[in-house]
Amino acid sequence: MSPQRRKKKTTPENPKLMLRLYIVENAIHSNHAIANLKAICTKHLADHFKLEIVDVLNEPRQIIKYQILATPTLIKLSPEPVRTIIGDLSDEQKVLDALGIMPAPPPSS
Amino acid sequence: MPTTKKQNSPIPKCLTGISGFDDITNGGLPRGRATLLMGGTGSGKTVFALQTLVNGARTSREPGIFVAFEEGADRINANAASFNWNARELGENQLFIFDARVRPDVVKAGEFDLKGMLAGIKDKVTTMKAKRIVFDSLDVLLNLLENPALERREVYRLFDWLVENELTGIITMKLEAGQPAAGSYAFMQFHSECVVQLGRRQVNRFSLRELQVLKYRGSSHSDDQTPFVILSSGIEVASNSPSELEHEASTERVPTGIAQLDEMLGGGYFRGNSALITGAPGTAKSILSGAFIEAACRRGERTLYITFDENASEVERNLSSVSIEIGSYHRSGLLRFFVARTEAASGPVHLMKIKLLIEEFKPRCVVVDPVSALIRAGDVETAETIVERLLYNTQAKGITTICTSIVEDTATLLGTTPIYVTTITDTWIHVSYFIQSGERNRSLSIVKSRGMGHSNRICELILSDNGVALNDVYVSQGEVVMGSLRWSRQLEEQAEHRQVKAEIEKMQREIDKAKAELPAQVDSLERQLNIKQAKLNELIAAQNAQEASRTRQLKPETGHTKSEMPSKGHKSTSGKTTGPRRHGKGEAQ
Repeated sequence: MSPQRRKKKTTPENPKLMLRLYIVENAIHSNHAIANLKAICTKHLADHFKLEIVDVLNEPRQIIKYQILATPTLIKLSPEPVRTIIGDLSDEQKVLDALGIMPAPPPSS
Repeated sequence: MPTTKKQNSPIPKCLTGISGFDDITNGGLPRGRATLLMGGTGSGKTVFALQTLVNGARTSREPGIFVAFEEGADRINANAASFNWNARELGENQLFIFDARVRPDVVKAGEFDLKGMLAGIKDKVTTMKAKRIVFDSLDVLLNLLENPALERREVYRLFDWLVENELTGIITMKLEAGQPAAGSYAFMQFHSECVVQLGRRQVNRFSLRELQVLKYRGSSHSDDQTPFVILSSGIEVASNSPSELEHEASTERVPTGIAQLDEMLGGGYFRGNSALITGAPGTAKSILSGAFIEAACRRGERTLYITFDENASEVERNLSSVSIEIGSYHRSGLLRFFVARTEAASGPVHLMKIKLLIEEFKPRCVVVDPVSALIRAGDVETAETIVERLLYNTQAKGITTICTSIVEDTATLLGTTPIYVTTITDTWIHVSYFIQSGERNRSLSIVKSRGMGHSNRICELILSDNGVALNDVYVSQGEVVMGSLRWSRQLEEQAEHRQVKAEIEKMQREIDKAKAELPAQVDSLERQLNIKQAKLNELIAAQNAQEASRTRQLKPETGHTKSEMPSKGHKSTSGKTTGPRRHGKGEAQ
């Protein structure tokens, strides 16, 4: 119910969120980040996002190209402005603020 | 701190190419290990790190990666371009700058690690075949981690990664030892094979940079605080490598430019040794060194004149007044001037510049006039090492060095700073002047001269239009010229000597006179005698005549025999008293 309501609200205002997550496969923080991000997206974005997960061990050149210092690093590519979030995304509020997402109202309201 | 005294360290080293640093660490940084480079803002960490990479890429064919957490690649490039390294000539496959700045809008939402970054860099290392890497500066990254346990884990990860990939790493940290924060990063020092600290302190009005190797596991190193400077060539560390002190003692003599002084020193200075000329202002120290320069240039030897108070044309003009002409050698490039105004920089900076100039110009002779200016331009503590380093440096290169130093007299010299200079230098010449009857005169003496017989004489230094000359000191009558007891005694002895001599001469003259008068006196006595004799003869003759007339009156026939008697008597008397000539004379009268 609530995802559908938000979906209606957000669709005309913004295009889909384009996200890229740089990880190291099987690294503990990377695994946490994937789980945390998926939970946040499900909770607040429904399917209104596109997530690309890059394992830097497979594509190491991206580290230097995109100046990735830390893994995991989440980059919001669009809409503008581009934002970078580092860490395992365990701090949900910070992630939402950085991505510019209004938190979904609790189910009771 | 493990400071082993092994000369040949078993651990492999990596030359930084930073002159002086490779000396004090006996070969540079630990190869394939992490070196922690600590220092405050503006202490020269980035320059040190960049210089190591540029030198590695250029001279050791070891490509390097600069991971810049703090400054952008453009600023790092500009920094490198401000030195005369021609860093821009290096391709990206020789020196790569990874712009790893943390953007200010980065949000930290949870824990992270450096695995990904290291994987990315490793990829670059593999493609470039990089051997050296710099992380500048790590505190930016640690601030992001915020958690001491994570900091430690990631630092260990980084250090281990360097070892795994056989990279010689410099990890800079914006940190001064002794700061409160230093304690929490002590684990980094423990984990590093080598810890170098760069610092800066104010000495008088100069800023003095110092470098110290706090730790070097498994290697001998100097753990002194060593001054360094940042010049257009980059970092120059003042060091006395042990090799610098190993030089062959020369027996070759170098003329001083003054024949009499060569004679006093038994042939001149020793090649590659140093001499100190001390004296009050105006005692012709510069002229003595000028004479040395002129002689050196005449032999065709490249000479470096380091002057602190005057410029080249002033020096040339002043020397020209005593017929020492060095202008033509200056113009031909045989003589090079280094004019360093005392206030321009601190002693260590001067020293570095001089050392570089010596490297480039390769002189056979160096004059520092006055070395006391070099000492003034810093504190006493460093002054000693500055002069020492300069002289060790020139000695090691076989350069004959003349230093002048302003001192009022040798007595006060013992209590002042430059005294140690006198222990370093091999020959010490002191010039003093004394004012007497409206005249100022200069006297020169050799206080010491190592390894050569030398005169103990005090000489008068005479400057004239014809040049410089040394004469034995003139002691005037009844007056102590040199103001010392020794001279006073010498004077007394000389006066006494003169008096005895005068008496002898007087007596001799009297004797000579008496001798000269003797024949005349004898003559006069003889004459008196002859006169008496003549009177006597007359009397006898008169008496005989009387007797004869009386006899003729009595017996006229016997008169002939009686007349012979007076002639007999006359003959016998005259024969007894005088020689035949005088006798004749006497008879004539």
